[in-house]
Amino acid sequence: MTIKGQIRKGAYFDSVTLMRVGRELSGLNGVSDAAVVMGTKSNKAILASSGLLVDALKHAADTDLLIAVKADNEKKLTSAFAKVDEMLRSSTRKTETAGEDRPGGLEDALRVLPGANTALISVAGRYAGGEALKALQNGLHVMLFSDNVPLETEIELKQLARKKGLLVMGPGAGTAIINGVPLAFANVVKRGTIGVVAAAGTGLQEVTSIITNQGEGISQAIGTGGRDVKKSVGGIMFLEAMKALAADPGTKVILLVSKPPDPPVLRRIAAAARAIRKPIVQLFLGAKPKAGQPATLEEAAHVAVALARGEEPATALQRLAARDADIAKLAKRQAARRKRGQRYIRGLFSGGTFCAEAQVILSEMVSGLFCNAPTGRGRRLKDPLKSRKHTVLDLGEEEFTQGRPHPMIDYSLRNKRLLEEAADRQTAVILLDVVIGYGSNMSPAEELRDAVRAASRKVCVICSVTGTAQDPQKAGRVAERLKKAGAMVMPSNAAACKLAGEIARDLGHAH
Amino acid sequence: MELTSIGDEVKPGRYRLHSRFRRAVNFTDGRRLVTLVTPEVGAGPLNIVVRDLPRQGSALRVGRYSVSNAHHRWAFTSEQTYRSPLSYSLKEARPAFFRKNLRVMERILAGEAHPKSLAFLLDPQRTTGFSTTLEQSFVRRVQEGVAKMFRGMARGIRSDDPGSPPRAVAATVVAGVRLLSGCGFGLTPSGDDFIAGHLIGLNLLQASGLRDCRARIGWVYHAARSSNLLTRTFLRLAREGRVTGKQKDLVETLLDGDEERVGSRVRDLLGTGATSGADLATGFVVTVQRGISR
Repeated sequence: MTIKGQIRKGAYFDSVTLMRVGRELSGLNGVSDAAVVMGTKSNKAILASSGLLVDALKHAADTDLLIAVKADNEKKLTSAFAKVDEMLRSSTRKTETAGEDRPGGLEDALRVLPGANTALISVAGRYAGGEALKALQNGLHVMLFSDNVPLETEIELKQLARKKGLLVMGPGAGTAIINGVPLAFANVVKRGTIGVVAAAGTGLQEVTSIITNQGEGISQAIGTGGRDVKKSVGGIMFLEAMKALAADPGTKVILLVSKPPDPPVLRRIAAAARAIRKPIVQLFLGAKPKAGQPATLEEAAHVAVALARGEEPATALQRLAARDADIAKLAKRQAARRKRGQRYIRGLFSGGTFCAEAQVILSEMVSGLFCNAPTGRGRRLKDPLKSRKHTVLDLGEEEFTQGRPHPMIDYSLRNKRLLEEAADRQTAVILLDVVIGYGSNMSPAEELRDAVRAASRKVCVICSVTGTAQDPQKAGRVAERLKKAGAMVMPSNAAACKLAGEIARDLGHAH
Repeated sequence: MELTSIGDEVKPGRYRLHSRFRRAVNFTDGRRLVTLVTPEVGAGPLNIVVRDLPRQGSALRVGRYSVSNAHHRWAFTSEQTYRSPLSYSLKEARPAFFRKNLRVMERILAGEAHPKSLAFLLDPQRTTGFSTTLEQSFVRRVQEGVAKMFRGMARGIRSDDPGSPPRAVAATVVAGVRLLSGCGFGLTPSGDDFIAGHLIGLNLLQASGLRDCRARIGWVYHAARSSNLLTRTFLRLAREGRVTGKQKDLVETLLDGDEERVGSRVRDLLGTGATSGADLATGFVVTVQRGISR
């Protein structure tokens, strides 16, 4: 073992950066301990008691940044310090130099980039409407990432946009892929002929990823925000997006994804669909599908792929049904490994659509299903901090995200809950969605690894990985690492939920 | 570029750039600090809240009714001054109601605070998140420091006499504070944030007339002195009972809010820094719990 220390004088980095650097440093291969701390007397005492206070650090002042690393050998040390330099430099670039040329507002931005045709807006909700209006008045499409935009503002914006032939994606639109460009939380997908309209962010990510992984591609993926398909908004943008895809020569198949629209909106969507001459796949999660129509995001994606290839949709659904028979066999083996008393499913979802899909699937398989964001037959969980019977949680809901990053970025809350649920003797299965791509956590497997490993000693941990091989995190690598940590990794959220449901059924608590 | 509030401790003068972060830019005149912050950070004694943070400018001038750098000028009126003293008293609350809200706050901190924060003082199970040798040393030091800081409190706080504090109590408290001061991760170490929360809690108890904490506040503050300007500044403000808007909202809600509002305010505070908000909140809640227990 070798130990090295460095002092960075006059270096001010915010706590989030320092803790992230410390965490990543400690997780490096060959590093057994590391510290990135201010050079106070107390911290030097702690370093001393941990054997990390080398001579180079002893005379540091309170305001100096200390970096101490204990590693297997010199080579690992050099590599660790190089990594620290890279992370701190990147942080400095973001807060200082990159910001120096940043435009102060929309007008400045248009002067810098006069050819822009879309504004992506992510400011506090009470300001977002004003910014979106300015963008529309300047002839730009809008992607409104911001939440907490008043309903009246959303309606006003969308009516104006419709008049001007522009799109307003959102509010609360976290995902879109326009002309091959991923916006906000989105995956690197193949370009192709399937166009998607989604009032469900992670639903959009799931279908576009599966379509890419199946070898087909995406022409456009337009997110409308979840509220768009409610009666109050009337599906304004959903319908405009359908029109846009109908007119797009690059789109041959249209895939619609949403929770069930309010009945008047559903009627308008149905009427619009009848007028479009391209094949349309509809997935309204929770609504009873007609025979031969998809019931899950996975099925919808596979059907769209079949149509893009000129195949019969039924073939795709039959292939998945055969796969589900294998899931049932796998479930039996997993159920046999559970201890007496283990019977419940606990789902910890970072994607709201996945949580909704889980409820739809599991409600058909088990009884006593609770959720903090219930839909369909899911019942409201009174205290989101305490699971009850079968529980699925949308960790992206406000009670979990206020004052902290979204669970797709920061896994700390989910990891803590994962361990708590695994410690509950009645838990048999834990479900996790792992959504990768732009905007999401860059080291998902590494950050989940310890908690998954600990949990999988007691319960069956089932993950799905939403993403592609081209995503920065690389879906295949993430899946491998999760498997190594002891998780079962399924090809979709639906498959993961079905496996969980089958295990619970086999454990004797069928619906 | 709109200025929405300016803290009552912001003094006129010329300041130069100290440090720049995503949501805050600090300036100093060598002794004092002022900070330009975004609305997400919010009002505070030394905060100047502007809608858009300027990306340029290494100097700041604060006048009687305006703030300016080389590129921007923000005018303000006295109505936009944020009054920072914590002016609430526990006498305004129904005791059972306040205790219930404190428990809600504890529960949320224990359930949702950053895994490397001091919330393990509220839920010992959280210590399992500190796995390396260094982290375990940190946990032991904090536990020892807090035990000393508060062991003195149970006796000393009832018998505090500002004229002649018992030597043994003062020595115990000071030893505990010195273990915590400067201890931990982050730009403002966790121990300092905890001490700030402790000082704010003591000020609330003092203002409520439940305890005479004047001597204790002095012991803690003087034992925690730091050469780090940021730490030194927020400890001074905490000693004087001057708090940020988020902290004030939290106290107000603890006194008369419902569980949902308490949760909302606590979670707002948890968004400060990586662990700073959680550490300060932990210091506050532990202090007030012990101060009101019989």
